[in-house]
Amino acid sequence: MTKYFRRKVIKFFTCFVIVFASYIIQTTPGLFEFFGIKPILVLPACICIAVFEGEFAGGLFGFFAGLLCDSASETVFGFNAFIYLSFCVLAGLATIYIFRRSTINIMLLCLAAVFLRSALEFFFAFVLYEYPDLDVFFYTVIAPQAVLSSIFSLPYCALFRWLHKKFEPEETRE
Amino acid sequence: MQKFLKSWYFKVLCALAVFSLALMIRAASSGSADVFLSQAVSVISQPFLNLSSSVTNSVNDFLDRFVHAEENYLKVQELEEKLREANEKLVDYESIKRENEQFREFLQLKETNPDYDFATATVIGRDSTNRFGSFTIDKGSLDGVEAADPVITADGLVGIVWEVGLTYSHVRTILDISVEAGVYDVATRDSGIVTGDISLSSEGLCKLKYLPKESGIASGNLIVTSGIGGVFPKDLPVGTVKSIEVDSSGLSLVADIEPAADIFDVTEVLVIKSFNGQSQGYSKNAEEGGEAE
Repeated sequence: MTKYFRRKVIKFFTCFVIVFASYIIQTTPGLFEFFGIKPILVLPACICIAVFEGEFAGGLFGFFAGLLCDSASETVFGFNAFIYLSFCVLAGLATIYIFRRSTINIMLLCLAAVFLRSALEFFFAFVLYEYPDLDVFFYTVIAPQAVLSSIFSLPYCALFRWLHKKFEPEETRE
Repeated sequence: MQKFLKSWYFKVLCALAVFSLALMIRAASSGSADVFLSQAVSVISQPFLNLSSSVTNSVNDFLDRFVHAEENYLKVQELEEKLREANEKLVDYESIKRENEQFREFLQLKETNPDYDFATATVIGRDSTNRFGSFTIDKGSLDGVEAADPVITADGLVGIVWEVGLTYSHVRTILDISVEAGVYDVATRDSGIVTGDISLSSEGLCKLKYLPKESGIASGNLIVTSGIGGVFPKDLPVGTVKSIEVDSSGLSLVADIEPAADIFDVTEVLVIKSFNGQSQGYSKNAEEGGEAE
């Protein structure tokens, strides 16, 4: 095993541990809850992986993280896997072709991703069934949750930027 | 971009996207998750969830003693005051005396309901994206839990088992707009349907609908399950009436109900696996019908 390959394995194993720990924290009752709202932690973590490690690694992590979330969620099984995979690939490609990898851009990407994910779930689970008072959800749950999740993308951004610098050889660093 | 679209990376990602779409279509058409994948993911993550949830509970319990010390002291004083008032009324009013006896009966739920087959369960996960307090418990089909089993605490009804895995189950609470339970007011005997309400769920309240307009229901009245439909056993406490108003159609009354059980903070629950009069024909896909009872 070459030194380069070993470093890659350690880096992606660390990424896996961070994503899995985020899932556990996100799902554990009473942990990391602010004024009754729990942030979505797994999606920002995967978006950060996509931004720093590329669209392929991000897509794979997004898919497996989505399956994890599907197992604890009431949405149709596969919904999160599909959404996380798509968003991570798009985020990875966006940072190659459109955005710079600045912290504010990553934070905005996470905000958009979490907001879109919640909005899609909201549409399929509630809007289609025409429940009353749906706008209340937008103001009291979806918007605060997206903002809170994007704030939590800051430590993830710092962590994955550090991981990328630490384990990626200088000549291949983007 | 062209290079990426022609690469095998892109093909692998497309294959995974198609695979997840297939999972969605299968889950949506069959009404259940992909059994193998879902079980495999749960088996891997459940020990960590158990550990994390027990550590969090222990830490929270420990911290609560200090954080809520003053609040608890005030609560005790308030409860003592209420108890005094209740005792005074108990002497004067026969009806309140009967109601008090009923409360006592509910607290001794297990002793007074020998037909109930219980399974105790711990809450090991809460879906952070769910608005109605839905949660996952550590008991599944291996423990005899089935879809549509009622979930309660010593205080009262919490919800219903919605999806069952081998070692876990997803529970939807009475705050959920897709869960409905037939109930009646103990004092007036007027019946209605308790269900979730989007604007009330954030306050931890649910809604009692279809009460007759001439009903004598009042704030503080106890609401219990009617047992009609065979999904919930009869006389399980659901909550107390908080406020009453006339329905927007003007034909019936609706009331805000404060659940007897602490839905958002519950950590230990009882699953009623069987009881006399339980319906066997219930389908878990209540989403289609939108009713549990």
